[in-house]
Amino acid sequence: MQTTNITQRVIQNKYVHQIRNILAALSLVAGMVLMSSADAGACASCGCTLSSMQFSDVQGLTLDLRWDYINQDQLRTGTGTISPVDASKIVTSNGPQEVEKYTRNNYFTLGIDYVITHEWGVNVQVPFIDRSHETLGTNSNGIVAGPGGGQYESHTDSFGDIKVVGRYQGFTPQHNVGILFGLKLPTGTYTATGTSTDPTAPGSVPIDRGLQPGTGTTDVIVGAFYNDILSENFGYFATALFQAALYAQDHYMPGNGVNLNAGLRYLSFPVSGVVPQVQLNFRFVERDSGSNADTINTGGTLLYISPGVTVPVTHQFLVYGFVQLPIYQNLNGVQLAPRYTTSVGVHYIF
Amino acid sequence: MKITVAILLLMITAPAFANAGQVGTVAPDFSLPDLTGKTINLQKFRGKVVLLDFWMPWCEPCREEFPALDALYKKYRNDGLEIIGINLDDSETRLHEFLQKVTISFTIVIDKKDRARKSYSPEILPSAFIVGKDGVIRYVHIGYHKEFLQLYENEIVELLKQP
Repeated sequence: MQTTNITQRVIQNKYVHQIRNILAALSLVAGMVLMSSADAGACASCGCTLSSMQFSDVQGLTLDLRWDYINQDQLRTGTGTISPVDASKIVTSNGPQEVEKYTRNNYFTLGIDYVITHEWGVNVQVPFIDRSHETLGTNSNGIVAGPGGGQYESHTDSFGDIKVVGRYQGFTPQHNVGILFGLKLPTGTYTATGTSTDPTAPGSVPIDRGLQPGTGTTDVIVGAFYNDILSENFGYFATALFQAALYAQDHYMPGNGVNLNAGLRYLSFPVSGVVPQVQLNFRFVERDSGSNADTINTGGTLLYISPGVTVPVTHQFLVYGFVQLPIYQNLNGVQLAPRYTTSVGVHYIF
Repeated sequence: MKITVAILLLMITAPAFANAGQVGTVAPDFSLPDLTGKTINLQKFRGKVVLLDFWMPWCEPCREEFPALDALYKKYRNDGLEIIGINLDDSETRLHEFLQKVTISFTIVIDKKDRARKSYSPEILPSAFIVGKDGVIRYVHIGYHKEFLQLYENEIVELLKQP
């Protein structure tokens, strides 16, 4: 009984701790907004924003090259963590739970942005993915894999699915409101293989569809964005994006996803041109579907806070860096998640 | 998570341009047409104090600033002050509607292709860059308050005194 009471208190404390973390993060952002609200009345008379951020209306070409490092080494289920040993004891409707060890990702993404007129622009994202993965399969004790569990390790490095997204931002004279529309194309391979680590079944094995460089599907992307200034010192932005596969490919269809982002930028940093900022990134994604999909351990809801900074090197060249920290995660089944992610990039304006 | 969706979360908001028009740097040159179609070249004003004002007709603070700039120009033009209003709006309708309501003595140029905008990277309008006789940006003002007018005047007078 005493053990149960302690366990209940531990669980309660864990949830309280999580809720406090979320509230603290939201309070930080809210506080920054509220701090500026006193100036909001003066802001309307102090200046007008131009759309000069990611969805820029400045005519011409810009190139962006970004590296995202995502080390998924923490097993999670629902809103909490789970040990590999506990995960190995789970039996799902599809059979014993697979226990993954890690997925390490290095994304190198080339972004090409061309603003045709102040109202119209197009953005192309070309990712190159370096990904290492290991799984203990479905017959393990969480530490060592047993025979016949489909355990394997893999390493892929190849181009992923290219995204082409157009935008229209002619709704206002300052071009700070716009819509996004585009496609994710099936340019990445979805038939890469790994190497079995099961001594009873050596050889090549197909990598899970959800871990392939490409999905094999064409997805539609639609969204909207808005940016403005709060005061002389702060600008803000918000975006919403929805992505959905148009069809299944080889009995696999990735889950539909919604991204919502909001951010604050500090415009008055003492060093000219340096812009610190913080974002809140929300994502909801449905489970994958199809007989070749993992319908149990995919999908979920995520909320991240992402502080970062952009720094000009020359008047055409700048660098930026962000770190993403999870503040809420609710994952279906058992999934590997990163404790943080990092992004650094360079931006060149022609 | 099977698919690393985390990276999709981040919206990279690197601006369209890095800050070019910084205090202490040489004011980037530009050649832009004025309202009559004549090409105005910044280099030709070397030896004068030049106030470059980035604006758009739909921007209320820009409109508020204009009469103050005009008064300043009339007061110091003979002492070597030049003011160039750089319009970033590509709507000729909005521009002409605004100009019908105000009388402006200083030069207005039109930056339809964002050439000067890229060089000076104003994110908020109006943005004023005060350039000394040596062609170096000496002061930058973002947005407009009435108090700025006295600041502009003090800075311009100081720069006009310099050789």
